[in-house]
Amino acid sequence: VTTDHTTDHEAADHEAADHEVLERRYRRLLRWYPADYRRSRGSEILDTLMEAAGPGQRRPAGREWRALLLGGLRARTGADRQLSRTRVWLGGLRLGVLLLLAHAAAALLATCGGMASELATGRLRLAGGGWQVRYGDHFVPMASQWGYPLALLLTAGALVLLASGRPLPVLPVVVAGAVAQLWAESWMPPWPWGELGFGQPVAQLPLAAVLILPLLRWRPPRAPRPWRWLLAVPVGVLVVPTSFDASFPSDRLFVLVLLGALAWTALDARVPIALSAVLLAYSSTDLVAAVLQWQGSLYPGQFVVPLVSVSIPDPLGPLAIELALVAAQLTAAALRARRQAAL
Amino acid sequence: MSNSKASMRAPTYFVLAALLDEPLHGYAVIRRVAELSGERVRLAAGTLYATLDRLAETGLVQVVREETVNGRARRYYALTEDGAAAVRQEAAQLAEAARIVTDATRRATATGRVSPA
Repeated sequence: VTTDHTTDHEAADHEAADHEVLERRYRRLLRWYPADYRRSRGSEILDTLMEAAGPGQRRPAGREWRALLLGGLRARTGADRQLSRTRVWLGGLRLGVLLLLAHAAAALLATCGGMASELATGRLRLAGGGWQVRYGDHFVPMASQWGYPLALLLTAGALVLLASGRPLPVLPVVVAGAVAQLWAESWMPPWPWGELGFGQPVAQLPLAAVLILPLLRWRPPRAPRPWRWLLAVPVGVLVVPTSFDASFPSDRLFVLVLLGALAWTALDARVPIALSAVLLAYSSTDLVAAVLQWQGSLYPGQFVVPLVSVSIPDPLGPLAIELALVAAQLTAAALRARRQAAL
Repeated sequence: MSNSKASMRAPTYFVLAALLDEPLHGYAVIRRVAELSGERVRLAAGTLYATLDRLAETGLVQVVREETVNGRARRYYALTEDGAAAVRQEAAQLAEAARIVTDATRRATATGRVSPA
């Protein structure tokens, strides 16, 4: 009897130890959820998980692990909320405009950085309150260089305004930013699409101004800390293709960003919708390039395919890739949005 | 009822159906869903709470009781009137959809094109 008793005690101790280990592991998995959610529901979910655990179970079941990971990520991104299909598409559009603005600001920041370095080398100078560019031995006044910092300020302002949930004042600010950028680039022949490609993306701001129109009648949500979107700008200088010409493999990073966003489709339809807006900016740049080349305004070999980073003589190739990607993203988004809107 | 035109996912339908008889807590919902679906639907806790969150947000379920067990919170969920109406409406639509197939099968059986199962 004593031996049986001891064995029973040992078995109970083992089971308690197993449960303790399992509970600790489930608590760790619950960290995928935001802190607020954990405070209100964490203890209850843990109770259900432990009730569902089998005897001697020390590791979380695979399907529980997956459901907690996806549930936590959805709760963090707001994809867990019950939204109509229209709200999913508007949310995606808002995110797309935010990304376009961040992308445009990153490109402008890189250009302003380039101007600063040209100031240091003496190719550019500020004299008499205006910009001058050196050509050979003499300097030529170029007031339009003010367009870059001006467009950068306006774009950064529009980014914070939209993240604050105020789309109405964003429209004139974005239009002003686009005009400032076109003014800055107006010296390049043929105006205004002189230096197309990924060094100088010019389609982001005009496209943002168009895509913001459907958002004007809807009051989008306010980001918890709108200014945080500004942090995306310096990150964007490294991640998306800009004129920042360091040894950084920005095109490869950009491919990684695209792949990550595609994977995110499993969680939230708004991400592929937003990504389509970014890709559309590239394809519209290439579309204009194709038209100009067809007209004979540009010469071949000037373009770089963003996804494979090889020079090709024709913008039609990247244009086809980008449009195919946009179509794929929008199809994935439509399927996901339908599922997201289902009760 | 909000979202009345949205289709219902299988976990949502089974969770609502599980609550038709009485309020249940999380694990009891999981067991009841497995029982009702003949073990075809086995809800993970993460899926269950995502479903319950959506149903609470749309006013189809509500928390009716809370207690503490082993130091952990346990909440009991019940259908609201809208929730009961939604699951009955969905069941009627499913029955209507099933009737199309059963009627066609019956006609085919009567004309001898399909042998009875």
